[in-house]
Amino acid sequence: MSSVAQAPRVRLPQARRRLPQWIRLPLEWFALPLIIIGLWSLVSTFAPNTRFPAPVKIGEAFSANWINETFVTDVLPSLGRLAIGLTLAIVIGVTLGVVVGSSKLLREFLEPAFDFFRAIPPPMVVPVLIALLGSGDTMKIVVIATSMWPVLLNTIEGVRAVDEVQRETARSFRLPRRHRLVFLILPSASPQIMAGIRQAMAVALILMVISEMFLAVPGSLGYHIEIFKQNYSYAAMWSIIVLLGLIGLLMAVLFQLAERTVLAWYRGLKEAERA
Amino acid sequence: MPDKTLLTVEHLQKSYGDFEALRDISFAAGSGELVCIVGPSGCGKTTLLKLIAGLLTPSGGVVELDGAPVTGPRRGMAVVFQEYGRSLMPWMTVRGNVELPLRSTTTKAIRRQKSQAALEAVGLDGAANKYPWQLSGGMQQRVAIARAVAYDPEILVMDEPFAAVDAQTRADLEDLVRDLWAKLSVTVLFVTHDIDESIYLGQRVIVLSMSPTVVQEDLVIDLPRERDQITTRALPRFTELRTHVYREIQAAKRGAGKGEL
Repeated sequence: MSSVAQAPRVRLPQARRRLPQWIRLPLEWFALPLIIIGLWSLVSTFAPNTRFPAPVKIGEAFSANWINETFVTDVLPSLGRLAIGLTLAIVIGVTLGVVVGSSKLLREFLEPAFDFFRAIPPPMVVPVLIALLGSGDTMKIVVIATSMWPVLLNTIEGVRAVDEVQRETARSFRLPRRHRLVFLILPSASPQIMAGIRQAMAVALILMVISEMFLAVPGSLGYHIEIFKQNYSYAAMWSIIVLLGLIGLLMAVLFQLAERTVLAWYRGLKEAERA
Repeated sequence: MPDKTLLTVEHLQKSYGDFEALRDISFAAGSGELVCIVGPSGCGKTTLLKLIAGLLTPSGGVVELDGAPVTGPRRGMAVVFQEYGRSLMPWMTVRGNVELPLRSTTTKAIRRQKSQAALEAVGLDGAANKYPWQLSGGMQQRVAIARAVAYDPEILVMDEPFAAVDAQTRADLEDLVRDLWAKLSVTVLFVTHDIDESIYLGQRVIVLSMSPTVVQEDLVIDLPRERDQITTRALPRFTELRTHVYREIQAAKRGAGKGEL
């Protein structure tokens, strides 16, 4: 038995001892927020400042303002417009992107115009849209839908980059146009499309708030921002920031779930290429 | 000799601007034949193949399949490309890839049956639910072959399909092609730059010259029908044929060199 050679001890990176997952994951997620809240509490206890109320006060304001029927009457409508506007942005961005990305002529013709419109800061468009569409839901949804630029531009790039051999394969097997779209163009462009959607989501949330702040009427978050601002309700203002942060977080989680499914092949492919 | 001509290439010519890639290519392939096209690198083999597949339009001459001119990809033809990694769709499973060309013409049950049979024929029936990138290069090219076989073509056109795999895998894939050809009685047009491969596989070898390309020779390979990687390649006749084609290609290269002076 003593003839068995001793294997050299190599410490692999994976061999490091790790905390079990049920401790590690919550720790990763909540450690930083807890540290920030703790520090903020300390500061607000020892150096109180009305503009920066203690986290406990913000929490109270949060539950007083949002955990009641206001959520249904004034937050859900905003979220509904956000969902519709973002869906429009994705549908229009991807559709236009596929059309423009497939044609060199269209691309050259439209790209200067795209660069012009994309450069306009969205808040500048709101007054124009109010003049055109009034101050109702339509205007707000259209404002949110202007978050389509990153989707559009990324889709164009993605469609343009479809592999030439894959295109020839599709042609040689005479795939009908709809199959080429569904089984070649869209999946091939999906990594870029998803990147565009991720950017659009962040912009859409900002535009949702902006669309409601010009003419703040009940039935929107912007209305509450106006009221709190006029009343110097700092804790309530902060509670809106927390609310928007949570909405953003929820969107990011939903996006990641979607991306994990849609781009599973892409992650696998990249890992295989690295190996 | 085959009873009927399936593919005819007549005075095919292709230029890109001033560059004359193919000057004058003529040959025919009979139904059920296995014809190899061999030529030096850069002689326009891929151009020729794309013209035959209807992926390019000729500058002159005509390609006919079943008596009708080829003006675009035809239903009776399936192509296996050299770059298997780029020809398969990485977002689809092996089965999805094999069934993709069948989607527009068959029901799900028939598709499933055909893909299963094709994957069994190439020895990949266990990998149906894997993704192409989970497979080795040789296995990926088997998937591409299965896709072409499931399409039920009259003629299978292969563009240097084994140029990128290692020698052992290549030998296995060569035998797979011979095997499928015999079993399915499909016509095979196999493009390669490898002289040994063309002689080992083909019933006929068409030797191309350097660019601007013409047919240098149309050679019948009179080796026994049953081929074996070891015994066939050891036959004196194999060596003779190999030497002959090799000289032809050397002559073609020298000829082109003189032409340029």
